[in-house]
Amino acid sequence: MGMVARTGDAAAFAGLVKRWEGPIRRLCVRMAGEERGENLAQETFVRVFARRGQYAEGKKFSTWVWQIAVNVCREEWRKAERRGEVSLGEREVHEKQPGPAERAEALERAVLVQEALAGLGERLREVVILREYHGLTFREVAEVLGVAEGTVKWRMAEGLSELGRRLGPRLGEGQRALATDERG
Amino acid sequence: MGVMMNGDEHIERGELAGFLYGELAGERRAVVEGHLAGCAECREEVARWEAVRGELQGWRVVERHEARRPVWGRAWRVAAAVGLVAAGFAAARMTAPRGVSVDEMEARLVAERVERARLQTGMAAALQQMEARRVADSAALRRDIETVAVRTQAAFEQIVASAKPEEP
Repeated sequence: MGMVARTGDAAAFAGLVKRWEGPIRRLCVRMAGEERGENLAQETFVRVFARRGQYAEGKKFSTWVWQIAVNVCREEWRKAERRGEVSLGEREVHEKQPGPAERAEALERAVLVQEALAGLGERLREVVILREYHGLTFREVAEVLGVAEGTVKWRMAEGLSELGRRLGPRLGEGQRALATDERG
Repeated sequence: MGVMMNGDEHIERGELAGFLYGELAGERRAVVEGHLAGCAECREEVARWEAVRGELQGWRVVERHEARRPVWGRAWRVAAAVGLVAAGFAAARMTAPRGVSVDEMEARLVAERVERARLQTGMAAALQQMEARRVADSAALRRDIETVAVRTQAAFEQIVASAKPEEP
């Protein structure tokens, strides 16, 4: 990134995009759904390039990129709220059609998870996604979001509990199986 | 979570989350483990969170290369070539001269995206035309081959007929 920031080298930027394209796209898709997520990922890289001069050498580059991506997603979230949309990603969730029989179960599971996440508040959802899907530690998530580590852990606990309520029936099955295992 | 029936305090929920994700240092981890051994309420909470984590893994984002379908067949090569040229063009233009303000840079990038979208739209239309032409060419070629075959057959039959010896 240092080279990109100093020289505006398009080739160096292309390398950077190649390395980060997957993780940023996955984050944006999880935050905003497939269709909007693609656009938000592109927007993230446009901003990374446009703001390359603001990147401070010595600062962790990953934190800087995650921050930009999260902010892009937050802006989209607020726009969606102003437009009166229920929640991001929900429309796409309902548009998905069941595939072949052998994929139906996996698809149903994915749809339920998307719906549950789409129903979480922005603050809880971003913590759950960054920690659970992108493997950032709580400290790293705190740096990205600019809040205390304790706040992040509290949000994670709240997020998991809320997801538990939303995924209730499915978890019931899992927990019954767990109880059986423990007894067995 | 508050206080247990025996007067001991429950583990703070944020710390339980830290435990769940393996982020507690040795001593705190041992304290939490000790608490969980004697507290069904916290144990249930952690078990429920674990179940939630298991469910979360059921959603895997489809990677772009997995979602791509071979709609265009060989035309993809053409599309890739055109895309490379467009990307090179965009990358070259993105190399801004020094001294350009961030606002100006953003404006240029927005224009760049519009231009790229326009190029992609044009490319898709061109590819559709190519595909339609290919289908039409194939049909025409097939008709030509069939015509030649029919004429060849007719000519062959004529030759055979003319070569037959006349009956006495």
